[in-house]
Amino acid sequence: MPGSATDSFSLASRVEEIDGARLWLAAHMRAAGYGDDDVWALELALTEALANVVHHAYGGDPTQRIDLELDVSPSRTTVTITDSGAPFDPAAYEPAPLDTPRSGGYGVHLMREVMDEVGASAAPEGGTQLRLTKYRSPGIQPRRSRS
Amino acid sequence: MNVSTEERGGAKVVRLEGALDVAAALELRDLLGTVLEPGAKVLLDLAAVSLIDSSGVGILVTAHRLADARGAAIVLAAPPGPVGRVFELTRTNRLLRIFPSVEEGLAALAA
Repeated sequence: MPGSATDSFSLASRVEEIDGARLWLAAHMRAAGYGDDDVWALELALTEALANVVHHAYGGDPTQRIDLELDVSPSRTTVTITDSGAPFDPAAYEPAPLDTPRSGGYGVHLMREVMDEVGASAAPEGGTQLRLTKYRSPGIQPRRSRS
Repeated sequence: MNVSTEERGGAKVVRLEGALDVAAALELRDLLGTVLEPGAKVLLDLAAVSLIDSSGVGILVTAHRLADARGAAIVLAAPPGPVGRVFELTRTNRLLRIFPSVEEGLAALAA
């Protein structure tokens, strides 16, 4: 189907690798005609998810691996993030209240806010499979160049 | 993240470009710790920031408090729509001093 694609991408568990994953994701979404707002939302959620894997699931061990699967259709995009580290269930995680600005801990909150669906299950080899889904926003979105 | 700095009207204008994300967090923290000298007036020009994540927001909150502790001042200017949205979603826009343009931010620092 035009505008549909699947692809996979792997990265080492280092925060310096996250930008490459974002570029990969954005290229596929733009090729499928998604606008800036949708691309930004998934880039942000992916960044937060990968940071959690690097820092928490793998505890900062840079030798571990993270696998991404992308499923882009004309109506929605899902990216699945698989790790083999410490299990994590975002549904069971309750972020701290937003009453007082703080110096961290916004990641899961932001992921939930900008995604239409966030789901997780146990990965086959241990660890977690996290699924982030964004439905295409209606209407025409502005296209910005990446800086 | 790319950084350029200039003096304007008695303030340090720090122009940030690229992603203020977990990968840039340490560099951003060190940068702000350096420019926020006692009594300093600092404006962060965010116009060329492509993305900010929870790490970036957290460091800006820390910088705001550091400025208070050091008798300095820090304002943010010209955040693109998605950057401003992250401030709103985290409600940090209630603490951080955010202005639509560099000129308005500089005026606030001069007041």
